[in-house]
Amino acid sequence: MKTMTIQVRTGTMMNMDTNVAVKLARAALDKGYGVRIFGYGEGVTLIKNGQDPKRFPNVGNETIELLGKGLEVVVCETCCKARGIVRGEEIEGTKIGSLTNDLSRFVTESDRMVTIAR
Amino acid sequence: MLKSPHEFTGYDLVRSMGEGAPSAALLFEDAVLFAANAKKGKEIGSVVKDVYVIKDDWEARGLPLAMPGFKIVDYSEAVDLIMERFEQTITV
Repeated sequence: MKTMTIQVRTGTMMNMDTNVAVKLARAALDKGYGVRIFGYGEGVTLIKNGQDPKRFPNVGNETIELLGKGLEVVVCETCCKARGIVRGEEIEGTKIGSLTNDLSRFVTESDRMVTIAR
Repeated sequence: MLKSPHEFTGYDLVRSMGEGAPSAALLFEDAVLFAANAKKGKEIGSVVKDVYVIKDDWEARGLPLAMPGFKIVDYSEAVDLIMERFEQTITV
């Protein structure tokens, strides 16, 4: 099974980058590809549980839904700590991990890498 | 591509990355404005072979198409481009 890794570095409420990432992930999962998302910098906000944007798409809820379809989501612990996001505050099924262990594994194992950041 | 044509300056970068290989631009978010501006559209069209515009972001902006040669694609087709048609994806 071919795999796509999507890298996000933008906050969920800064612009539509994480929405694009989640839509791309959904489309790829629906086509039978393996999909992983790695977030760092502001991209770690993707896994924060309890997101409740009033008038915008809730990428947190979409992420939860896609976890059920096999999506794997890891974010950088260092970037989480810098922003006061601690273990236990992540969406269940996502992981607070590291560039060293997780992103490197994703890059090595993936067939395609898509960075959605400016 | 994500940036608006009024913010994007990487034409030389895109041209050099695509040299000697089939290349295409896949436009998301404000980058879809390239399709609504004939001058800017021609500029990006001169440094890649094909230009694809993601349908959601294009329709969200409700603009007239100035570049009929650009192809409007949905996310499923975008995945095909990334996973099967082209070997590498670079975001500029």
